[in-house]
Amino acid sequence: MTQQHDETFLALQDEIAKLYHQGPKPQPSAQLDEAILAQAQTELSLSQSAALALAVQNQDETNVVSIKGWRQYRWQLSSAASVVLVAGLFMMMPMEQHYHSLGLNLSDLNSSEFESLSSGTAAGDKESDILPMASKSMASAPMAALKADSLPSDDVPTSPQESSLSAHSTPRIIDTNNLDTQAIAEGGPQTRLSKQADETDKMASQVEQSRQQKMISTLTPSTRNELTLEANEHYSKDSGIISLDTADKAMVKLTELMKSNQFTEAERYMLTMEQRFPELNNLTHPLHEDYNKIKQQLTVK
Amino acid sequence: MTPNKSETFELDGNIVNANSDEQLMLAYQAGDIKAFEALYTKHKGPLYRYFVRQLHDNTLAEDLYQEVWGKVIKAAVNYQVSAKFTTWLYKIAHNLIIDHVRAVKPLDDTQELAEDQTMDSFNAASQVEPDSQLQQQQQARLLQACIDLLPAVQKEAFLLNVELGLTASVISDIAQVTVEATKSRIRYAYHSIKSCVAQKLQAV
Repeated sequence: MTQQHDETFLALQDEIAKLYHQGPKPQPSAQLDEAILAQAQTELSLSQSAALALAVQNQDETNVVSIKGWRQYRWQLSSAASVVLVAGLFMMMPMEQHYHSLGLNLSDLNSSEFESLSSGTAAGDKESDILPMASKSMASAPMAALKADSLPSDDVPTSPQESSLSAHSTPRIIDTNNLDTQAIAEGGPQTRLSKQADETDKMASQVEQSRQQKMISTLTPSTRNELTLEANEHYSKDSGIISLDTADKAMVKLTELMKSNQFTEAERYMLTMEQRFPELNNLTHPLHEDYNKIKQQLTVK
Repeated sequence: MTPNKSETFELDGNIVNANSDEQLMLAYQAGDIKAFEALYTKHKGPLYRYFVRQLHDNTLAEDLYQEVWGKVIKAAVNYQVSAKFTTWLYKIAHNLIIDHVRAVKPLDDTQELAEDQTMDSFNAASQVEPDSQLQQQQQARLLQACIDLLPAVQKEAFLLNVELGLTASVISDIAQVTVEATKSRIRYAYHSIKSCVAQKLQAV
């Protein structure tokens, strides 16, 4: 039934379609055709020109002038230079640290120099023969000198270097004193005296500077390091135990300890003095008798 | 009756015949204006009649016809073979008619019929009454008159079927309705035209 119905419809469809196609078939006008084809042509030309322009643009982009020479590696080169610079700085750092350590010691030494100057005592022992070189070399650093100026001398622990410094600085003072006394004795005009004093000071400072430079020039870096290490060793060992810088003061301190019955401390102090001031064992030393007496007392106990 | 039936397509794989609409469109995209001319020549008649028979306003029909081709030309740059060219072309045409005519005003030269209504009870308008000269010409003219009397949706389905031989499936895709509704529209259109033509011939 359905199949028959479909066949009937198909026949109808064919009949109507046949009849439809027999009828008039309106077509668009030639002008309309031309207009549409012209539009198609125009659009095609536009798209082609746009594509051409794009291609030219791309070609331009690819035709960028290439950088020649070292400039094409400028990023790599700058990076390498930075690395070298940083590595160089790191290599320089230990030297810098060493320099600072020298500067610190110098400040300590300079402060003790002031102290020894004030006490006016000289000590020419074996240790002091080594240390002046370090102190002189350090004295050339202005920073260290400034530190030494700013530090109070009482707060700085005394060290063996001080005696050597005082030994070196003493002549200058003596010279000045001599000049002063000489000037007074001569009874010349005050201006002349002061002029002479200035000249003498200038000469003394020149001599001192030349001597310092000479010593510094003779020192190789390795020698300086050794000296500094040795000085640091002594400094650390003695610091806190001997706060006085002369045998006189040490004796006074030792006597006080004995009087106050602090025998343990006195014994320890004596041992330190033994190392610090070996000249006390010398029979000709003015303090030898007192020192030996206290030593015997402590040894007996 | 079915000019595109012989063509074989494999749209997913983009395999198309050398002379297919899609191939012609791609050739035009590549810069071949002759391909567009061939495509245009092939489709200009049916498309033009699609508008003329539905709109009864030649000026509007020509405007919309030109607009359709304008859209095709503009879209050629980015054209990709994702559907049959015919379906794409008539979708554009369908949407233009919807936008420019149906949305603005009803087709005042036609009277709406219900889906199941035939044209047996309909009398043709006086200006479209068949002339009584040659029977074939008379029948053709009567047919055109009866087509004009079809409801818009049935007329569109009929024209797409009879002009291009499109199946109900393709027409449903163009008109964006279900296949069953399209089949129904086609059947009613043919039956209405048959009845209308028979009625008018008897009247003559």
